[in-house]
Amino acid sequence: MDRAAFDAVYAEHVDGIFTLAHRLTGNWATAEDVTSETFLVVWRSRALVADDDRPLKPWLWGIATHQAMNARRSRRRVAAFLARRQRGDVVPDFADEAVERLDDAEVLAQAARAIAALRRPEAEVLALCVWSGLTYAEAADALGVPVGTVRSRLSRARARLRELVPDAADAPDTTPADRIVRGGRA
Amino acid sequence: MNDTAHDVADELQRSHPAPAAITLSSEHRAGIARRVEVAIDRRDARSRIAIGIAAPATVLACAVAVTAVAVLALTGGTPVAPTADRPVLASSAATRVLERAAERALATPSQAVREDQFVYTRSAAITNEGSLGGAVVLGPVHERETWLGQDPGPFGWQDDVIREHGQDWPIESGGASVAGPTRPTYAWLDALPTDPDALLDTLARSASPVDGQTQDQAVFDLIGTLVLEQLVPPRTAAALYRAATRIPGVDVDRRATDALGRAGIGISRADERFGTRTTWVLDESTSTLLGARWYVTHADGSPDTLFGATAVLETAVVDTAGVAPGSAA
Repeated sequence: MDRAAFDAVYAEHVDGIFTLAHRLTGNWATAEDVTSETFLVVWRSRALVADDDRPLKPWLWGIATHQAMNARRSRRRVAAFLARRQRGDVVPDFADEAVERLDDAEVLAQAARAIAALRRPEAEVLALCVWSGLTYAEAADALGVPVGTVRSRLSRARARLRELVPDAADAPDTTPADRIVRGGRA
Repeated sequence: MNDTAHDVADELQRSHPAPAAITLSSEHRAGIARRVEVAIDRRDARSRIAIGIAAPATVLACAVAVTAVAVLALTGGTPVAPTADRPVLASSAATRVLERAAERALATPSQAVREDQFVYTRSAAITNEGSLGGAVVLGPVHERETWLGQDPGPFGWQDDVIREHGQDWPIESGGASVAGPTRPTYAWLDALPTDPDALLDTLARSASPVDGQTQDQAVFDLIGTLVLEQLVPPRTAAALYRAATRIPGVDVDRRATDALGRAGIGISRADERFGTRTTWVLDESTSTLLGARWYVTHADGSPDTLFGATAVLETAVVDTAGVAPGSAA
């Protein structure tokens, strides 16, 4: 993969990867980190990509998922997480750009609660199979696990979500999405 | 379980619908692309410097061949005599400095490092914040911490972290990567040949010149990667310093300072292909490694332009990635 091919992959997938990263981290700045890290991995692995004619998306989504879950873990570890606006990049806040309607904010808040309630393997299959529309085979490819494992993780995700957030969809939402998003940016 | 998997996914899609897909603005896309470029630049800087400047530069370093006998004469009663298989090609001044560094390394204790632990380093760093291929823009001196997993297996790197600019950056290897030249663990370093000539043979097989770079430069860069921001077993460190004396074009820079301005003596080599120069900075009295500096050289003879520097502050072995020595997990 040369630079032009890399740029084409970037243009095609940057929105999708950012969306996935944002769903998994609930944080605009972290999603930016995850997205740039994902493409850094793509760049460093470009020799491998050139020799592999399998579809790119499961591989990309797998990397992004791995990066996003690592970023969540890192954030938990770092007591004082200092978000940094690098090189003067000033981006419009998440609330201005991504969420135009209140329903979107509620869906996003519910998604953030679900990810927080699940164990990592379950959160990964929720994001890939349910939200990103990957097939089980693609998700298995992305995560490097057998298809049966994807299925069982999904079942566990459903059981856990039923158990932990039984009325999440009904309860009035006291956690506006922008609070979740800004939580890591203080 | 009676459900088919698709029922599960469908049910979850209804109970937990996907949040709206995000379409980034063109400014956002460009901003993230810029960060990828800066990150590519920074990662490359950690192992080898490539900032898109490929103009050939004047070679300042001059290879001076001296014999292995001269090394013995200079170093007196050193317990590990260099073998005479390869000539010493570094300048005599550089050879003296490297030999002292080797002796100093041998006088330090080795460490016990388990496979489930992490090698921790804390450094001060000055990095190039300019864009790929653009002019050098030096950022402020800042702290950088790294945690490098010691599990030799293909995914032993998966918890590796660089903490820099107030954020944790996972160090991705993009796939399976066992302990080796690109992911040196303490145990892997400890297993390297301690004879400098045998070590140089090993390094020469691992070093891969990039884009017309010379093999000598690739080996010099590899040695730098292995000793900088790393914890190196004493015998390996000594052998690495001695191996560097077998590389032509290695010379001293008497006015070298590290990223914190600590003065030392530099071991320097110019990369003609990329028009850059790397200097390892060693403490003049103790011969310990203080840090490194990277320069862009200029064909017209004007002074080299600094584009990166580091200063080692601390190295340690810790149990948990992301947790500095002495702090609670």
